[in-house]
Amino acid sequence: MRILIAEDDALLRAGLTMLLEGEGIEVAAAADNADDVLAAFDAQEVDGAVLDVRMPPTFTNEGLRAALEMRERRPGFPVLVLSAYVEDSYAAKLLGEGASGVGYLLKERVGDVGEFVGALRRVVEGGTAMDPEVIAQLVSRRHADDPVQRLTPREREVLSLVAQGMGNAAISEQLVVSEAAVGKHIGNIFSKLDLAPDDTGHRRVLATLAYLRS
Amino acid sequence: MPTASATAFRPRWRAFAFIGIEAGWWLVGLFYACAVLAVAPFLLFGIGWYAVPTLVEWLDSLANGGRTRAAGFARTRAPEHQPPVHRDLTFRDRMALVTTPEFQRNATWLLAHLFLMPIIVALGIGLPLVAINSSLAIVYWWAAPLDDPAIAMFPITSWPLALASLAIGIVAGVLGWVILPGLGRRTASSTLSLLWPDRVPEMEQRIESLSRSRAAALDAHASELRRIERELHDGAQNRLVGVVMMIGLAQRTMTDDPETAAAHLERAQAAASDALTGLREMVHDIYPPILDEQGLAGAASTLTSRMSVPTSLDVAELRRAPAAVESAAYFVLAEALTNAAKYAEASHVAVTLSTQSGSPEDILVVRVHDDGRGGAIVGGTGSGLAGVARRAESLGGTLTMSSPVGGPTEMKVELPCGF
Repeated sequence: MRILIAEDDALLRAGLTMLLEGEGIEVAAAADNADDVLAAFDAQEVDGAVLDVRMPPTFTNEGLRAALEMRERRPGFPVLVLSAYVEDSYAAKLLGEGASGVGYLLKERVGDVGEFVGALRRVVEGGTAMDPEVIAQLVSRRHADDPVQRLTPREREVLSLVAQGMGNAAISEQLVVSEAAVGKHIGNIFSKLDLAPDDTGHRRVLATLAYLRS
Repeated sequence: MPTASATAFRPRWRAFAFIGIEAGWWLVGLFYACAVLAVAPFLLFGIGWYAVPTLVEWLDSLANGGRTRAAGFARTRAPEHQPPVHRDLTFRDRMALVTTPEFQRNATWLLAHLFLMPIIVALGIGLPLVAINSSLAIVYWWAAPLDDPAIAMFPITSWPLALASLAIGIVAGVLGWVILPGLGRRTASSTLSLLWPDRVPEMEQRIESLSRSRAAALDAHASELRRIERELHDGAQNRLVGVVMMIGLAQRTMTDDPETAAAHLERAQAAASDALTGLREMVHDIYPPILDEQGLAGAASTLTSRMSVPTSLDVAELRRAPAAVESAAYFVLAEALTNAAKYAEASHVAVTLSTQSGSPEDILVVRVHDDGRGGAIVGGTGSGLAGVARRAESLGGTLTMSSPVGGPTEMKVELPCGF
């Protein structure tokens, strides 16, 4: 697996490189700005990119725009965007281009190396990795008479994990319940929210995200 | 120490001079009135209206002159005056000019001025002149030939007539002496009361300028918050992400490769120290604690005493300003001193901090002068002057720079104090 890195902070760039290489992921190029990473994207055969949202020169959303540009040039190209803070509109922009192979995480998630690398692998394989904070914001924004409010606390927990992009196995591990129980929760959630029950795997993530963002 | 006679004389002389000068301007006013009368018939045909804006502006400057002189005589401050400027007026605009309260006030004043001034001049100037003329006649009337006698109030051909003239002179002199100060005062105060502008537009102007400076203050506040947000995200937060990441890496390698783990932990520690340094600098940057303790004057003297180049500091005219302004002034000064020490090769630097009273708000002025080699450019690389300019602008202030090649360099930053 060959990955591009775009991060303007030298320490974090070096750290990310070290982290990925330590996990057996090849870093094809580590750039400190959006233009360089796009140049590397055009020049090399890579499987995905990890990008910081804020980079020079304006320190606003260069990284995000580079990610969208990559997906424009190569639809479905896996990008994992790291942000200093949760901004729902960033997530919305990324997901708007078709949510397959999209990740949006808070920067500090890199501290949990295992989970971070897991999220990256999921994204590269065409999955989704949404930061729990993003999902929490989406869920908390629902109105009082929203069907989401009719979910049990456990079901809401499961919904959040589904929306983050986790599969049944990962969810059952996280909640310490059986996979069958997770499956049952998901069935209940989908019927309460009136979502098509045959949505499975990645389409399921999209459906829940679309629902939460509507 | 003025003598008693001098203290009695001076106010009368002032009144005399004031009325004399007003008499001169009365003539100008008369010419103006003639001009208006000459234009008036053409107003009926419409064409005369083209002269109206000019006439209105002239009247305004006449009235403003009268007001300023009266205020000067009365030793009060004339209200602020904005001369009207009329450009590209439509016909309706021209008609509207003569309906403004300002114009009507000025016109009323001019009429009163034209009719009353002759009386005032007769009393204020005439009486003293009659006093001198009639009294002095006694000295020389006998020298005049009989067929061309000396004339004061009447031809003087005999001693009784000369004594009568002296009596008239004394009466006129006493009368003039008594009424002159009051006459001057009355003239000035009626001018002022006729020409004192409505308080409402003045208040409106003041409110407008206050809202403008308030908006500027809010802008400054917002840009300051943006700066802090950015520094927190790109500085301390990144360092802390680094810490978390290094610790995560150490955790990952601890069992298999304790040596690498230790190296990761060391990096984590370095990053944490960096974060702390960054935070400390940032807190200082938000508001240097020394400003709170010692005020701008004290903080500035700490800055200047650290200079390797002999540096003088003048804070005689400095008053306290709002914290945001003082802290901006502090950073501006720090930056200017750094520049002077680094690039100027100066042998002496002079710093002046002063507060200029102003309307609508006071202005804090930071002036840094050095006798170095000059050639400083605001946009220049690494000079930090661009930052100074930004900082000043964010508070609605300005940076003026004079730095010819060969020196000297003078930097002046003006920061409005917001009240």
